Amino acid sequence: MKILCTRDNLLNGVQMVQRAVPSKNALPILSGILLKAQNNRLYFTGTDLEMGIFCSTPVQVIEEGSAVLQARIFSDLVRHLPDTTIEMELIPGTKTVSIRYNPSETSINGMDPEEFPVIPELDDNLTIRLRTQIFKHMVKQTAFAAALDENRPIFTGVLLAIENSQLRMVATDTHRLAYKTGVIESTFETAWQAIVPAKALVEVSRLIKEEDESITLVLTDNQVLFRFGDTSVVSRLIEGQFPNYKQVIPSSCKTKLRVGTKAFAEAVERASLLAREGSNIIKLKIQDNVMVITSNSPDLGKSYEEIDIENQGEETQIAFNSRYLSDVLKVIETDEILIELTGSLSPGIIRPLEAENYLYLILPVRTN
Amino acid sequence: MLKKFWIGKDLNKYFAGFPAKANECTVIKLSGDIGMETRKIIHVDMDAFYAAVEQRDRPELKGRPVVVGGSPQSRGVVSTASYEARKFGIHSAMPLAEAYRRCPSAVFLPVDGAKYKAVSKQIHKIFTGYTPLVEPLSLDEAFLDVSGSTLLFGSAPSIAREIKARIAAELDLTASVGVAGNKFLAKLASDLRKPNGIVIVDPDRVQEFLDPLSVERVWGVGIKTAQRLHGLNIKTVRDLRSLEEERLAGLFGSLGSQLYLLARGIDDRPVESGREAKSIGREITFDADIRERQALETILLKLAVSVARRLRQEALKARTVSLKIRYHDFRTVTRARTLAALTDLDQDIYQAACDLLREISLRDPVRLAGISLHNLSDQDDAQLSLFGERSEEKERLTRAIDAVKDKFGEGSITRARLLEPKDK
Repeated sequence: MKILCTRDNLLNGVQMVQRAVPSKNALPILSGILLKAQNNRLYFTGTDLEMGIFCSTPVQVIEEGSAVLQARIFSDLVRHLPDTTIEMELIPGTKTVSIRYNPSETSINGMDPEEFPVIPELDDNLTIRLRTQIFKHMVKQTAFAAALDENRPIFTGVLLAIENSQLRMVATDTHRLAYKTGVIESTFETAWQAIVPAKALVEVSRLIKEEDESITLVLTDNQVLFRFGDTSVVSRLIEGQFPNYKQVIPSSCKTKLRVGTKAFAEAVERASLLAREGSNIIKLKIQDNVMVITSNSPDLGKSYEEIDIENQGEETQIAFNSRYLSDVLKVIETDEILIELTGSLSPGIIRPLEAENYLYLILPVRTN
Repeated sequence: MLKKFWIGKDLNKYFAGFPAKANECTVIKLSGDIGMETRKIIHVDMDAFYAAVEQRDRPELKGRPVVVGGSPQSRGVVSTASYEARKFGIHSAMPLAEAYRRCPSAVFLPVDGAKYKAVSKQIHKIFTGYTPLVEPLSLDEAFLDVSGSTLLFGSAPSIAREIKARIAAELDLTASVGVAGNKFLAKLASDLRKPNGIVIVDPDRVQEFLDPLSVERVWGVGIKTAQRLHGLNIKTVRDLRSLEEERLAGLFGSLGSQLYLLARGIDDRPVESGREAKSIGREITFDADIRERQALETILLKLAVSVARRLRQEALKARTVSLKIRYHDFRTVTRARTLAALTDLDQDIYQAACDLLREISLRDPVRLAGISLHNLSDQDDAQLSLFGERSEEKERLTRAIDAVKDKFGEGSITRARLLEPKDK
């Protein structure tokens, strides 16, 4: 392998795929980045076997071939390379790659590319395409609601489902649930669904660049591939049956209110400071045109917040884990939200005002 | 330094001269100063607490045998027997029917938990007047670390006497008190001269105090360990002290190392006050090293069931589960996981422990496994869930199993997986 390239060529590729390189692992080869020079492009691959990231950049290939370099050392070097033509060459008969930037050079001992896991090519049979802005927005408003706890793997994923030519994303950790729909560009008649690790979706979102206009999802039975710009990300799917989320979304409510997002978010933040450590409980009391938020920590003190609302229906009160509220208030972009409640033991629903495509359901805390 | 008595071999002979009258301290040892370098720990143990509270509140019961636990027709056991009842051979954990057989004229009373709890609070308030470092062990027992209180309130023995006197004056109850340089010794001391006693262990004479005691008195020595020690002709602490640490560790694992230290009167456990510092844990050293995951998981289940039961008995819930694994070469690793919600269920704790076990290499054989629970809370707030794993059902099942155990004993009901071959 021998190529001529620039520092930026390398930097972009390395920074992209490095996100998939595990920080600690049992398999040494996974700590490396696979470099492959072919057809005047340099291909980068990093993987932790759960997820793989590929990207490529145009370079001048003098001799095709591949090499594997430690991600850590290679990326640190690339970051410090001078802005000049860089020659990279795999020293024949070794695994060492020489990186030359006249008149200096650095040689890095690599690993055997043959050992690098082969990530299977996916059939392009089932594909959907949507605007990256829509995709990013959907991930932002749902993925945070997935569980971190690996106890029940299904809940660490986000359900992606195509229904009526719309993409839906649903995530829940069983204490709250986020639901978002988005328009897809391609027509897609088949009903399809899969559970994608939330981590992979967040990673894809992060890797999408301003200039990437659309993202293509290639779907198979056990993997999903995201393609955008010069980059592809492949992720395993989570096996299992996502619970029937439609069934738990209440269709009616007894109390309905409208509140300013910012005022509510700030009151929740302040109240959460005084919420009992660990449980984060804050109490919401809905009265006529006013919502009172209280919290009480035996050690720290207590908080009383009052904000103006417009309300209909019964007066009520309910206790929530403040984190579940502040999480959603961070991702809602409308100035006002609607909250629907039915007593203190039923789920509460939060929607952005005049935006039908998002819903957040939050379960209360039963207090004594 | 004032004159020092010492408590040694002829302990009983020495005690014999001191009459134990109600409301009168039996001071076994007077020492003004128990050494600057040591901690000053007081162990207070209320005398026949439940029965004493009942006798106090119903003067007609004074001087009569009183058994707290319930009706003699029930299948329950004795919770507390008054000293008058103890003369008939009635003791805690004895079936009530047996207690009745031994003393049909005794007054049998139900357990009034709320009342004892309230009195316990009043006692606790007296303690915290002297030090914030109070560790209650149960309603009727507590450790106090008064190391930092002596400038304000006088020496540890005088604090101990004052506490005893105040419990008598303000609550009309008696306590037995031990004063020593650590928890182990203080607890031993309080037990030596019950009821209404006070025993002060001179830090310079610890060994003389300990040596003649039987090994059963040592913290951590239960029936099984005592039997094995007796088999080795180890009867007293002095005998125990003759064993080398490696030998003890070889015989009893971590308990062995603990015995080695305790036999020398060394115990560094701090007095832990407050909920945050409290944890519940249990560990098991195996008869033979284990390397199979399945076998380890069975042990984790056993541990989880045991710590969860204690958690529920304390009416607490835990947020953090920690797993300890010790390899054959004594290398020890611990891993902890904080759960999304508080729990007191066997299954949740077992599940967390198994998850933690997966993070630990099992290439080497394991000699010990332990589970401990931290971040304990007495809150009963419950975060509700969607698609629940039927946690309410699990709670109901757990409550039912607890009720069976309360009534018929810990061994009365168990999981099939925890049956040992001999039980078949």
